[in-house]
Amino acid sequence: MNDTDIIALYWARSETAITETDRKYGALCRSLAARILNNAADAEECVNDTYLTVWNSIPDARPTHFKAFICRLLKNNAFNMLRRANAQKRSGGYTESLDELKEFLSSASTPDTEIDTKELGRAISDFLRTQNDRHRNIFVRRFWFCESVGEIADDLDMTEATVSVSLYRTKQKLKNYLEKEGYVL
Amino acid sequence: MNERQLFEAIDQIDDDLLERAHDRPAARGNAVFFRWIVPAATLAVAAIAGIIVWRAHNIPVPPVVPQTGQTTVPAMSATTLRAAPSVRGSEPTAVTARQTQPSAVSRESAPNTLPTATVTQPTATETQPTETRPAPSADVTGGAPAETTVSAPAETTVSAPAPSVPSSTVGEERYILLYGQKYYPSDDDTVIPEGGMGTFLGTVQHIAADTDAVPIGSPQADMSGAAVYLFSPSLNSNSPVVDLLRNDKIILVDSNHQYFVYTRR
Repeated sequence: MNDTDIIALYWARSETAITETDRKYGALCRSLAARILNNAADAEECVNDTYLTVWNSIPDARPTHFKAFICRLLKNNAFNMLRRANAQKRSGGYTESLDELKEFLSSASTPDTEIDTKELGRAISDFLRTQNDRHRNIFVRRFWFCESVGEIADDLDMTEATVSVSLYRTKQKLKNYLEKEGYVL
Repeated sequence: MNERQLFEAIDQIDDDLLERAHDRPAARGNAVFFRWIVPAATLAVAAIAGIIVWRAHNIPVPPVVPQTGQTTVPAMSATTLRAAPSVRGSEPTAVTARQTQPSAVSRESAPNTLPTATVTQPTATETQPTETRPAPSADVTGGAPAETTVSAPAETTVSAPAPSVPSSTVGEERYILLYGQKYYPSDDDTVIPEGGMGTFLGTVQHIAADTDAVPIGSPQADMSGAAVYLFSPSLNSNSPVVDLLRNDKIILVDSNHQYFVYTRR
């Protein structure tokens, strides 16, 4: 069933909508939640909370990109759960991604600098559109979906080294791009 | 900017990028899909080439082949043929070679048997008894060069095994043996038609390498390199044997471009 049909079910207030959502995006949601929460039970709970959030958000919203819509809600829920539990104990894919980004930044960067993350996000989106599908998808999967290098490599039939090289080059190009745009990294 | 701000910024990237994040790159899929084609095509080409080579070595090549205009005596060109002297002196429209000299002669008997040939002049019926062979070009250039219309054979591209040309001397009777057919020196005028000499059979040296049937024509000329033509310009059979059996004349051209006609009896 495609996304439009699933959204139509939500608008029709059919409970089948949740079943179809789980059938299509359940695995993706569980893996993403598990990478952030690093706990299968918490991840399952997070996914169920997300389905409820989606049920309540639609029909007020009619998302154009349903996959992105549900994943954003899930990440919000996961981070909220994470904060509630203990932010200091977080680990897993999310922490790995965060640490990798830390290496990407120079030591001269100031943590107190006010950054408009939406504006920066738009700049990153513009940069990613200039990259080819392969490099762009690897970057998004690593830093948005928090997938490990090994998972990406397995799914794309590539070696981990190839994925790592792709990530390294994309980050270097992103750094140059953002510096040209006036950001201090 | 710290890593958390950067992470939050990445969290803000556009939805369509997230939607396509798990799509398979099409180019890579195609590359994987077609990866087997290169070795498969290489194997196919190698196999075909192997079959062609194998067949080429197993199919017997018919002896001869080149037809008029396609054959070849390297030294023969239109220019040299035109400048070639005619044995018969001045012949206005065609070159004619007559030889009463017996054809192939064994090396031992050649000195004794050669002097019997005569050359008939175009306007006279009398013969010159002392003339042993058609004179080399230097002797004949005094007369008007023959206006030959014979076109030179083109470059040869075929190297087929030539028929053997054993010679025989039976008393005063000498002949060339080709495919079981005996060819004797012709004593009538043979006009070489415009369009060529006929089918090139090979040089005397080539086709009679295992015989001693070399000295034909003028004693001064080296006949070992003489070219032998099957006089069948109009025939175009793929088999020189068939062409030969249908015709009763062959022509020899020596290194001085003189022509000697032999007929079958």
